[in-house]
Amino acid sequence: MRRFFFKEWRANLRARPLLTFLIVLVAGAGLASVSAIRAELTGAQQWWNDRFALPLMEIYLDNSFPGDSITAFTESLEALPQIQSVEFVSAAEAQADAEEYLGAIAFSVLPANPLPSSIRLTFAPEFRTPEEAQHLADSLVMRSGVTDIMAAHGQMAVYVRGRDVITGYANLLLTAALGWLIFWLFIGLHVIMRVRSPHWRIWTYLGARPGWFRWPPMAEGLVLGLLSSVCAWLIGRFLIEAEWASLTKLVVNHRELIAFWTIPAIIGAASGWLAYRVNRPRGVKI
Amino acid sequence: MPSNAVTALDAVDIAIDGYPLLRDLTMTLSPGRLVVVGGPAGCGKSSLLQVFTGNIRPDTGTVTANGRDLTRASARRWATWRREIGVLSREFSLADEWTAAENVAAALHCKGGISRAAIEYRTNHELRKWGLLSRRHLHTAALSTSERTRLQLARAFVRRPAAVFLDEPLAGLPTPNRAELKAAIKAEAIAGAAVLVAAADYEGWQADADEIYLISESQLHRPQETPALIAVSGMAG
Repeated sequence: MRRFFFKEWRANLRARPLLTFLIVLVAGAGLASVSAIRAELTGAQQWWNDRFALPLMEIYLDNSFPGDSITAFTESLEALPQIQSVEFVSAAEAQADAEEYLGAIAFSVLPANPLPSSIRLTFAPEFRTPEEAQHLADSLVMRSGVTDIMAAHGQMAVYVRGRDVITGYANLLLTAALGWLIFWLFIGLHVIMRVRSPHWRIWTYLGARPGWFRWPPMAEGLVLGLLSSVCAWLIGRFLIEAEWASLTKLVVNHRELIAFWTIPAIIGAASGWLAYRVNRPRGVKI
Repeated sequence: MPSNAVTALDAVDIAIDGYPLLRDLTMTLSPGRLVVVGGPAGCGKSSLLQVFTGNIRPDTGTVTANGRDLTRASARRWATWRREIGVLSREFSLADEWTAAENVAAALHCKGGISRAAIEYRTNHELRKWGLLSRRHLHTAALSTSERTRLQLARAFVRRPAAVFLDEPLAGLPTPNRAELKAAIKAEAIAGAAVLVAAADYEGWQADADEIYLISESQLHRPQETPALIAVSGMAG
């Protein structure tokens, strides 16, 4: 049976090489789109996690603010339900961090005056919204010893703008993916069956068992699906460069990696099965 | 139905799209017998063969094979029956992408339970018998009309079938080839197969056939019942 399967498939490829190539290409592009969506969403999630793992809100203090007042202020912040953690960064620690970050240019960039000490706040997950940040900033900004709390608010705003962009792009990619599915199902079935139809008549007259009709289209669909995975990988690597950095994050996750290669193969096999169901000989009973 | 019958039709009626094609068909095929069905084009010869192979289901009557009633049998049981027979049909051509040997071997692969070595041996044996061994590696598109016909016959007989159904096996062949193939088909029948041939030029089979039927006015007739055949026989004699 294997011998006849490969012969039929080769004949299929010879009969419609361009169409087969287009199917693999479009399927690959669709798959790359799906991957890009996943990457976008994963990237957004990653971005969110990165930002919120850092201090969301940094409250800069006057360096003359007494230590016991700082302790009381810190304790009052810890008591707030919207705050997950509070960390005090002294002026000396801030200076050391800045020098480490700036490296050789620190001497020329940093001001002569010492950097202010600060309190870094991390919001509890259910309060991680710009509105909550703004509300807290408004209540703290006039407090004694506080000089500035602007930085954390700016980060929140960036997130909101990023989410809008991601949503629009995801919709575009999702549309492309749906187009791919439709193209695959309808054109792919035709190609899979192109040469098989006359062969099926032969198998029918020879009394072939149902498996002879069912498995070859499924196997061909599976192979085409795997080829589409390769195509998608290449498209993602060379054409969707912006997504690639995010896409590579998927690869470190084994489950994602397996899904990336096997889902199109499963879809292909399912298409092959559908081709068998739709195109099986009707005039001739098998 | 005689006890040694391989397959038989009993009071079968067939209608195609509401048009009655064949009526009250009763026919028995027995081992070692060569039966020829003649008649003009479009009279229903090919359809008669397709009733035996299960590709056309009768409206009334019964089809039996190996003593079992297949008239309302499942597709799977019909497929099992098809694995026991050989068919040469205009609708059942050769696969041009396969070599001559592969076209014959396909029948053995379908039958199942035969080792690769046995398939190769039997394929080569059948190809040799029909004078095609030297062409075994050629794709069928490269074969002549005569060779293609012989290849289809090789495929029909390679499984040593209980019954063989040949639809116009000599169509388009020159006279010398016809005589040669008729003798070979007759030899297969003598070897034990029940052979049913549908042929418009039925008169050419009279020397070889054990029985000849004619389809006239949608019904099967014996030769003595058919004035046309008697006239032809008289001319031949």
